[in-house]
Amino acid sequence: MRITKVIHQVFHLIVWSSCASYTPKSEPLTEPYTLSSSNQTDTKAEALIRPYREPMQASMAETLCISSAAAVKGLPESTLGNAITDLLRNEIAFAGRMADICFLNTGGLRVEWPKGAITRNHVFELMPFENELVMVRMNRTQIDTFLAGVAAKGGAPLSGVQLSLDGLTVQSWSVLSKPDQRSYWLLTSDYLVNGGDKYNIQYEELLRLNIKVRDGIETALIQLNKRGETLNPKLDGRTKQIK
Amino acid sequence: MEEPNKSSSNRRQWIKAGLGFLALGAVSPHELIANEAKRGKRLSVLHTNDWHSRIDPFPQNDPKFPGQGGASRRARLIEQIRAEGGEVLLLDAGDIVQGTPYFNYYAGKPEIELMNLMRYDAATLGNHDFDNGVEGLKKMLSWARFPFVNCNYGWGDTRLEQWVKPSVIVRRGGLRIGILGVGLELGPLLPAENIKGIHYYDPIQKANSEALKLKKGKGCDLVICLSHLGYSYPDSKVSDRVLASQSRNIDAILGGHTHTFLEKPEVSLNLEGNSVIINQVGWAGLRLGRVNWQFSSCNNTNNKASAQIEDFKKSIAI
Repeated sequence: MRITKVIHQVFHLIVWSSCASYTPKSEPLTEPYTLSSSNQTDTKAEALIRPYREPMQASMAETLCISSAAAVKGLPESTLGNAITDLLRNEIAFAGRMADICFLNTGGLRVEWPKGAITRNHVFELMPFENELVMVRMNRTQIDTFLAGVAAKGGAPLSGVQLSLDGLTVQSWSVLSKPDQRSYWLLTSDYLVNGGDKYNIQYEELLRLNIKVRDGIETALIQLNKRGETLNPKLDGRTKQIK
Repeated sequence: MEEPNKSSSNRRQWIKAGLGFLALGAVSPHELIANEAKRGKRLSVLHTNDWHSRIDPFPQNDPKFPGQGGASRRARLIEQIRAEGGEVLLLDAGDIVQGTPYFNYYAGKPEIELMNLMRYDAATLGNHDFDNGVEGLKKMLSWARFPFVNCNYGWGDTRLEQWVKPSVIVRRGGLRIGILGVGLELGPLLPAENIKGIHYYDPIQKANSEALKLKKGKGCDLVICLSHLGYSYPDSKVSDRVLASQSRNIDAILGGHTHTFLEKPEVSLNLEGNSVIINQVGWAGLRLGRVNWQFSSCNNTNNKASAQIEDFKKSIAI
């Protein structure tokens, strides 16, 4: 028994010393594969996807509105951020009240939109989250704090405010519709009002619209289209760096 | 949690070869066989991150990625790589879901079923995998035929520990590959009710202790960390780069969250001056990352990682 143990240990030693630890060493590494139309598709995967895709397709392919230009992300302002926040501020009313400012976060707009037909699918992909719209009444100090957060991120999707930034701080701001009010109504999502994306939104009064942000965007696009208008994404200098 | 050795027939041959030693009644054949089998072994690690329910390719009129991506193409490419022979490991670094109507309609089922079809070996959790709360996540996990790993979340009374393990060991042709997972602080990103009971612990400390266990305790030949921390930040916030520099016993960090398109995997140095490979392949299933590992014979003790894409271009129609 003792001898077997010794032999056992000897063999362990031989085994381990002959091929002890492996120290990984890296060499120059190369680029990943890119998936494009030149790749073949997989029949099993196609068969798996089809029954999921088909029930969604008719509804998702429906055109809600036409966009006159591509809407893309960017800082300090962007065609996408301007288009979506303008759309919501101009089209969404609650109990007869229109918001003075509309704000969303850059990270919350998940894709960019093409020029041409905007479908329900585009709306789902832009705003896949189940967050709901809220309006909050904010005083000037509260807006100062909030806009400092916008500045710290180099800008954000924002409508109704002329904002001048000095680097990552606010130089000045004014609300276009009514420059000298004591307080303003801000339209945004419950996620952002609850501190999402590290924004600090303090307010005096909160109204829940009880509709999802996504449904709000869809409704707004349909209204626009009914009037024979298009979505017009453009930069207009609403948020600018002074340097 | 260990996966059965997929190359068991290969291993049986080695066991036969090792019978001579067994006759001595002394040596445990396992280490010997395992080490012999490592001679000249090659392992390809394929990885994805942040595919965000992007099952179909982007439409042709997409401003950034017209016609690119697509799960079916990825499945085919992976099959082609498997058909080359050699050992393949397929991993994902989280945020599998949220981003297309597929998730709103089906809560992650087709995404997970596609991952089953592609034979993923392991995945970690991203923040968006919690978008339907703990119950929604449990449903997703119940559809998966591959393990999920995370070692820096405490699960409280959510019972998610039944589904998500700190790490797994996958065996491939005599190699033992330890795979652990780390995630970012969920609090700032998710509504409190979605993550009720879940605690966040320091990912560096947890990853190092898990990696030590895998490499020194369980004798893993390679330790891979799946991370949803993010590639890098302008401040000192913990990221894959920060983790790499403060790590021990981790050979590669395959990451996600920041949707970073790295042109090539990056090599960083850990606390002991050993190299750590960091990679991340953007998002939306637009790319498939690949890192190859060579397990050299005992005379040459270094494993060599390389991504010999030129070789693959010859053998695969990409």
